[in-house]
Amino acid sequence: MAGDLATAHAGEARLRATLAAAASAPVAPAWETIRARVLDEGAEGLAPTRSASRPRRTPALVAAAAAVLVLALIGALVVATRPESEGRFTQVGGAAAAPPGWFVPQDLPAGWTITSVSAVRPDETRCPGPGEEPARGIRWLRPDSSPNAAITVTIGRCVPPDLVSGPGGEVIRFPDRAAPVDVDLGSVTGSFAESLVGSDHLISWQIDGVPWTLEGSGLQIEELVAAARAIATAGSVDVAPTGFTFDETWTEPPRPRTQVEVELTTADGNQLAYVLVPGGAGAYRPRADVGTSTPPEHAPDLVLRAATYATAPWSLRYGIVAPGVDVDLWARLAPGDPAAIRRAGIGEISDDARLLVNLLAPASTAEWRELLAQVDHTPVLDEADEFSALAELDVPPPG
Amino acid sequence: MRGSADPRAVREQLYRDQYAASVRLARLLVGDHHRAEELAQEAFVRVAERVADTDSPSAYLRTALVNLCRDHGRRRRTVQRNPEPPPLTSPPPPLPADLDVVWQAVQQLPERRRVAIVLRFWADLSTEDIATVLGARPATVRSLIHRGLASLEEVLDDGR
Repeated sequence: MAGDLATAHAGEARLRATLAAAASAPVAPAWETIRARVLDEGAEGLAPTRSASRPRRTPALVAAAAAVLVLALIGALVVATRPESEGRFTQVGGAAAAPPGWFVPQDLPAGWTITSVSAVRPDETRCPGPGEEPARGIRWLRPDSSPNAAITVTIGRCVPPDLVSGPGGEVIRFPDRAAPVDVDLGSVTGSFAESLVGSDHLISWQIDGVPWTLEGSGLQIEELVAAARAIATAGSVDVAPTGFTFDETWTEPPRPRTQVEVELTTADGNQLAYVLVPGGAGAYRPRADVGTSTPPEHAPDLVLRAATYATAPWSLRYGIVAPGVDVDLWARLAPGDPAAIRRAGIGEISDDARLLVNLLAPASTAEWRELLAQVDHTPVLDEADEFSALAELDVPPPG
Repeated sequence: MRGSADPRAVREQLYRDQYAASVRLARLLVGDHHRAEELAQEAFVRVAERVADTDSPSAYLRTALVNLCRDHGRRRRTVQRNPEPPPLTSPPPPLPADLDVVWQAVQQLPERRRVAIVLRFWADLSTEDIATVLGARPATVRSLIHRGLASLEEVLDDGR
């Protein structure tokens, strides 16, 4: 045993000596170059400082570098000139090689467990109908009332309630729309749904196969139905509902074909989930941006976002924008407590969500599979080396 | 340090404290001194806007630098699969023969093992800190180091 230890120590010492020697070359000062680049002080500042004896760049390499620089500047201009609603949560960093798109929490706190990993097709399980094309939306506000009084219409995509109360008082997440409450909208029949979230209600209908969804916050149900009837009869959103004024309009990206939901339970029994969706597809329409946050030190190229969302203001509080994938966090309350959900409202990002987002880190395919090996998961996940590959696989509907 | 420090002062202090070490770390990770200088400077530029808002600017810088070095390695492998243009290299360090064989073996390690080995045996980081840098579990880091040492076992044994 003593001999083994001595051998190990001798080998370690030799390794340390090698690394120290290999790293020992003199380092040329570079502060002025770095400072100039940080302050953007002129083109000459963009060239890194190097020690002497660097081989000269060939003209072809110089041209290639110039082309890259031009493309980078164009990219920066594109980002800088985007509308704010699109540009807040853009990716930073410049990794040329795309990571596989998986995220795994590092070192969960005691008592936290990952309960399942599911691959789902949200377009076929939550909300049948078109979803491959961009949808558009419009919102009106009632100026003489509380800021929460709003009507939002989405055209080209149905918007299901995220949570409803079941017959036994239990919380049903993402209910299917098999048992709607019909509501007469004049020219068409709509479906009415009451969300557990605050005073939000939804009315959905179709015109020539195109889904329309009207969401109301802070309104009486009668007002909501009247607004839906006027819009459905007109077949347009050109005229604001009575008493409301135009707020904004937008286009939503196509619905993702697949997403991956990783569900966790905290030591207190609260449910959390983080959801992987294709890059850009995680942008449910923000109701109120809460702001961005400093990325976690283990992943400085990530951009965190914090926002509340029109369809689920209490639930989607935090997310990550990463190359090729968005990570949305769902901070859910304990099941079976609709009253608690009603009270939650739009508010603070939960401590659990804050903690989880700082534990999440990009993972290699091997690390992701290590996670899958430990929990119940959708079998098709075993076939995907990277997140984007799921789009080409046969992801079954859950249940 | 978070929030209240003058960002320029933090950046300058970080440079004084960490620039040379950053170049040397990058040197060990990418195997080329000139490229290491470029990557170290790029890392400083990238973190410049945020270092005043973080509790540990040096750890933040180190993570950014390791990521840049790993990205550089991926790009280099891509270039090697599509072999034009030739890579820019600087002369290898003048090492004694008994250490040079170890250095050559270190450079042949798979990327994550090499990063873990360098961070452990040159930067003297703990397993937990290496896990943070790599975005991996500590158990994964222990495995990377174990496998890395196993891969180096033959050349390390030759020196005894």
